[in-house]
Amino acid sequence: MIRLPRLSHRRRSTQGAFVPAAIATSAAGRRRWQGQALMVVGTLAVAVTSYSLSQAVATERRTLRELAAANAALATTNRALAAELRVRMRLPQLQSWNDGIFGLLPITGEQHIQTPLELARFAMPPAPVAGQPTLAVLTREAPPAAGPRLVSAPLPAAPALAPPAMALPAAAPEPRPTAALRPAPTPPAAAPHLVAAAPASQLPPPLPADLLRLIEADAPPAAP
Amino acid sequence: MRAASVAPGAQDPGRGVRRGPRLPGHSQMALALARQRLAVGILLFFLLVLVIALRLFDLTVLDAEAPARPGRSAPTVPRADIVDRNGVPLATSYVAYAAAARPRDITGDRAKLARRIAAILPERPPEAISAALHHEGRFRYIARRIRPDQAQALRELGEPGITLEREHDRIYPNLALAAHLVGYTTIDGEGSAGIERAFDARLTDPDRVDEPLVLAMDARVQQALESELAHEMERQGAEGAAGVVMNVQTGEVLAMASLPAYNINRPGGRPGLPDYINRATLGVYELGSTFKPFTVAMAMESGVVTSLAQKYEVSGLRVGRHTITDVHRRAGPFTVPEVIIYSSNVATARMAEQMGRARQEAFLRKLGMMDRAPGEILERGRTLTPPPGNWGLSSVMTVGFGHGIAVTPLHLANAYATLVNGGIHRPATFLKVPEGRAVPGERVFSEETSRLSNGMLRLAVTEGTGRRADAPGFRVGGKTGTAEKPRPGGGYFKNRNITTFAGAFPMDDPAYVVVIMIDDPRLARSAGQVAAPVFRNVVHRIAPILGVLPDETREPDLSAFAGLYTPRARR
Repeated sequence: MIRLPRLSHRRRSTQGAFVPAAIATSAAGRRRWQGQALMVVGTLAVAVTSYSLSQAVATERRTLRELAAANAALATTNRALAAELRVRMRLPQLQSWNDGIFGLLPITGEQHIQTPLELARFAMPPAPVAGQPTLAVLTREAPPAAGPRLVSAPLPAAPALAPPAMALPAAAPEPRPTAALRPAPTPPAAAPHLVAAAPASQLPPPLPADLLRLIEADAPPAAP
Repeated sequence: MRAASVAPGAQDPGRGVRRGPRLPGHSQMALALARQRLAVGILLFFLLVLVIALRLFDLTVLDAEAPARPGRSAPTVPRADIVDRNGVPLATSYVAYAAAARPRDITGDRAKLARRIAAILPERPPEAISAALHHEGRFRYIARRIRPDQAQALRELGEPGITLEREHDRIYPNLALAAHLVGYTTIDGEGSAGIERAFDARLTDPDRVDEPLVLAMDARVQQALESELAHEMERQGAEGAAGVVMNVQTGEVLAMASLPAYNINRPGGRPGLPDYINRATLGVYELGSTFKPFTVAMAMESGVVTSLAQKYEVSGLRVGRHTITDVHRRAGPFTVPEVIIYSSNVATARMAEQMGRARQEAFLRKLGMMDRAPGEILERGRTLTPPPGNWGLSSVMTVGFGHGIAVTPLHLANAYATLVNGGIHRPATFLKVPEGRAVPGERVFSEETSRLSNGMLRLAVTEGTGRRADAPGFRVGGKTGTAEKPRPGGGYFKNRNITTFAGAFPMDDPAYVVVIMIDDPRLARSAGQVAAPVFRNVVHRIAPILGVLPDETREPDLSAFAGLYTPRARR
């Protein structure tokens, strides 16, 4: 009977001779195992690091996308609100309010003051004009002197005006620093009907319906 | 020996059939082969890892999509805004709704559905709605640019075959203000007129869509100009009106109006209708006596007029079958300033005659009068000048006092800017010019000629035909121009005029030119009565806005004209 060699228990030495398995396990086997373990650990480390990196990048990108989307939504809302504001305070509308209600006029040469001295001159009482009745102010503390003659005249009652058909928004028109008041065609008592601005939480959707009707209406060309 | 202990062809219990005797070195070879395979495997593995690492690097660092533009979100609109020089929006975009039908997906009764939609969209013809619902294709718009409440009502119909598309639309907050300059877009978002058309590519450039297009226009000045023009046009029952306000040093057009105008949010109509014609850049008119200052300046510049005291006879001047006469009859002869003050046709015709065609044409060319209107918009008219083969003596003389040549109000404003700014021609522009970046320009008149012209323009207002244009304190100078309207079949109407006033302020240091043109006024017919008061009102309103404050103690230096004219009697 032929006895087969038990190769599994033997290991070829580096010189080609067989050495006992116990000796091989103790040195080269341990090195091989350590090498394989190192490789597995290294691979795992690379994989985990790469995956973590990838996840971090993906998370960052998602955050960016969400931020960009939020920005875009806010920008859209902002644009719509700005457009609404601009339509409501459009210059032709301000002009029509001025023509019909405020009656502001641009400054003239006489009204422009160049120096503080000219301004101070306005504080001086005007020189009395001969032949004109003199007016005096009657107060409790100072009874009227015997000299001047008091002139009194009833003030005409301000005509009752119907409120304007147009409803003004709460926003005031742009101030015109160089404008001066002229005798207004209507007394200031006829204040326009003001509509309170809606709170921010109840803002209408972008470009509300009445606004679109407004801009699409066939307005008269270049209304003064 | 191990090899000898196994017979050839015998079976090894652990390894199957052994095919031959195992020779010395076989094991080493097998081991070496296994090691090689292992090495190749490891190499491939590392290559794979390397590829993944490179890809990760590519995605995280080199990929230019998101990280290349940090902090910048995608543009929210497909078309850039148009703003005035102070940032006031003139055109902006917003998200709108469009109702569309997908006829194959409609489940209910189409006739009934059409009636319900027509109730929601009353401005849309019922036939058009029905046609969209019965369309054979997959998709058809029912209505575009519908209101949010209409969109909500359509949504509440619950019909799967009716869809709401979100699309961008254009809004012009100031309605008809500067309609011809700003222009409008078609329903598909393409520029169709004015700036919208001229800068269509710029406004839709994805890289610049977040950057508004800044015009030279000042919306406040534009409003003042349009409102004064509209008021006078209505008062006079005039056919139309136009106006231009221009910065004389940069050529920026601060305002340009053409009336009647139209609502650019819903242009409708046909571009050929009168409302759509830009009278300031496309309409050409014989602007009459406003040309005379050019003739005088050309004569001074070319040496025909050597002294302001030079006298010109103003009795009738015979040219061929026609006789040139003055409208404002006064006894002559006139000095040079008196020619402007009293607006003498005869004297300016004589100057033009002495100057000759060649020099007149050369000056007109330098002033841009032989070309299309300046500026960036595409609606620009070509001037009507005497044909080269028929630019004879009579043409030279009539052009000398502003007849026989038709230009746009923008041409006139640009030429006046050249005359008063020291003599340098800078083409008009509708875009804002950054400070200190004005184009160098081309010199047409000398500074001395320009200075003397300014003085004569001031005298024309204080002493001459433009008295109603005088805005106290603003040192206004300018010239009236009244010209008969040409008949379509030839000749001129005797009772229909084009009235113009072209001027500048303040004349001690001209900063702005204003041109006012009223087409066919009915109550009064002369420019001094119609256009001059509009000019005064416009200056009153825009001067403080533009930083020119009234000062009644200042006047331009008029010492050069002392004794050369008779001051009018003042009350």
